[in-house]
Amino acid sequence: MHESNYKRRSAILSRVKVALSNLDPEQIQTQTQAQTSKNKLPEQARSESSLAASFAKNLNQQFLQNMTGNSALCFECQEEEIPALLHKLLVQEKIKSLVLSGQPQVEKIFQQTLNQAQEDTAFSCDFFRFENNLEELKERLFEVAASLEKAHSGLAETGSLVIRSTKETPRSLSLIPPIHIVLLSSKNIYANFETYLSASKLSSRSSLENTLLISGPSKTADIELTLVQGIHGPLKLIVILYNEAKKL
Amino acid sequence: MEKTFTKNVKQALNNPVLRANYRKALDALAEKRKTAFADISLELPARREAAYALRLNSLHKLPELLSQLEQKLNENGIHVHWAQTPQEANQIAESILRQNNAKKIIKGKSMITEEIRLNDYLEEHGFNVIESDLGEFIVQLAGEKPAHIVAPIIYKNKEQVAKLFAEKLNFHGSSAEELTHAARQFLRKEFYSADAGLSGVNFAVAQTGTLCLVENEGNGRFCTTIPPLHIAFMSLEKVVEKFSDVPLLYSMLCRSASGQKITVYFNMISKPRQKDEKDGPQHVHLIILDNNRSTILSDPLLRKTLLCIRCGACMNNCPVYTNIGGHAYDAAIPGPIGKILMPQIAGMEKYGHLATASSLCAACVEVCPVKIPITDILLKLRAQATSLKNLSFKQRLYSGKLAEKIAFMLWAYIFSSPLRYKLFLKMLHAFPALIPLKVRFTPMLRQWTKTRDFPMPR
Repeated sequence: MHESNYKRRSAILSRVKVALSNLDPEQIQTQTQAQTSKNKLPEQARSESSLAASFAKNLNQQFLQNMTGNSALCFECQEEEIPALLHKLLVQEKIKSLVLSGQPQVEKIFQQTLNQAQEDTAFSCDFFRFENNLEELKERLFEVAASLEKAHSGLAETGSLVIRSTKETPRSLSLIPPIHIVLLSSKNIYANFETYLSASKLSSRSSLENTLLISGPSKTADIELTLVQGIHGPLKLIVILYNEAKKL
Repeated sequence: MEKTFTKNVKQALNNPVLRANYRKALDALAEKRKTAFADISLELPARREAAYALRLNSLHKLPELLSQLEQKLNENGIHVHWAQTPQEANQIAESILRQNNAKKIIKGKSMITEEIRLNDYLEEHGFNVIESDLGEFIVQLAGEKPAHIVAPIIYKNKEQVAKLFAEKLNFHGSSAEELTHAARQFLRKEFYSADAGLSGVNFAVAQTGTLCLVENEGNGRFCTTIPPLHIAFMSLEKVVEKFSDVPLLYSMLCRSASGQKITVYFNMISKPRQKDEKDGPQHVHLIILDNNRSTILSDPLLRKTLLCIRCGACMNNCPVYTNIGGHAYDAAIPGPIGKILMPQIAGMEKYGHLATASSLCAACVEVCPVKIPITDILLKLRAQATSLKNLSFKQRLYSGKLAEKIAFMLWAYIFSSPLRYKLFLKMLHAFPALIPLKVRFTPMLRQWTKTRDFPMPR
């Protein structure tokens, strides 16, 4: 199998090489064009981002507007207000079970939420952490009502969340539960995908983690182009954009 | 094949429900595309030019980029396989599945697997394959083929889907929402228990060894996240050089395909599950398919067929596609891009006639986000298909190609002299009076007079 794979590989690559030796008169021209256009685009993006950076508040507003446009339920608050908001949301959305990411901050915030909710005798919410392998948690994950995690960053231009798959934030956390609740620090909003890539040096690293852009709840328009929310992924996406508390 | 095509076209043109379904959906898609570009309409020409340059650059560097992609993927722990033909691709997939003892397979939407007829192959070999994209799932339930590369069931209305769900899933509902949620319930069980997930690839980044997958539903995520084995399929032209090439191409794809600024999910898959990770497939394989693309590359014009990023905008804006629908083409990829791609990958004998099914109106060229000169390529393929050199005398006589030649010779003879031209016109005026209107046996005019009457001269 390996040897024949190598043979097929060589056959294909050598055919491609021979084929391309038939030069296109446009080829040299477009190569330089590609170079200039590539130089131009990130530059354009950079200038947009520096402009945006000086109006960080606008960036937040742009993000919220576009994320709402993408049918996500969005909230903006101060970091210390999150537990109260989360409590309200869990009640409002009748969320009775929750799976948490392994991020310490998420754990802390959820603990605070539980403490706050102690006075609310009607409130109850089972929860577990995503700290075992998928195989062990599969059944519970397909039954749990919602998930809670913190996003790596956000993109203002398209209203997108950037979620990197790590040991603390497994991929299926944002996929299986019907409601996906995401915390996002306003510090981590980029103007667009281009600026995110150049800032995170993703493009120059030899390898990277599995990364995901999420722009709204799962949807489809396959039947008569009628837009329906919630086909395979979450039916609802809730985004809490917060301003970090000033460190004393 | 040509006869089948003519028959398909006739059937489609005589099916008012089908034509209404298409018209409604395609007009809406074309309109959505226009709206999607409204905010950047001034930049659009520059963006198309840049996207074209990026794609052409990747094609010109293919050997290096493919090697680099393979090396990076290997470093990341993803196995790379090479297939020259659909048969080889299918066999490789089969052997990977057998090695992993996988029997139940869940599939994300992928046009390349349609091209190689993977489902048929795997089912013949005893595997259970389930399509999970809503449109493809419905196509599979109905035992049909997708009719559009982005909207597979564009030809069906919701009443037809409701009837199908009642028959096959014993689900009774009528709204798009009810039907969609019924499919969700059904497919969740399949995602839960599948042994392997299959997917396509929209862009493969050579620089980082990353497989990008564009989708709205989340089924692509399920297929590439939950089962322990993931096999991805791509044709060799899908590779791009750098990660910084991706945002522009992705944005052009979304806006052109469905009129969205961005799709719900953009997956960047780089690695199988790592030691400390809790989920993701343990094994990831990529099958890279040639299927005659290396031959297409040898012609500088035809090569541009491979710039395509499969947005489907050419179909949504094509007057021929709108009227005859996707199934008439009887090809994995229909519409304008199919007309130029299919004859080149599956052979002129089988698909050469598709190149004639165009009025050369160039609506497709106008909307193509990577500026593929579809009409130029069509003309070149037509010239190849009609070249008399390749035909025997008998074939020439019966193919109509000889008649065509003679007709043009006569035309040139008549039009090159004023006297002959005048005489010819006189004759034409007298001509209709010579044909009894109700007799429709007039050779050559029969086709035309079947649905219309020959106008009498005033």
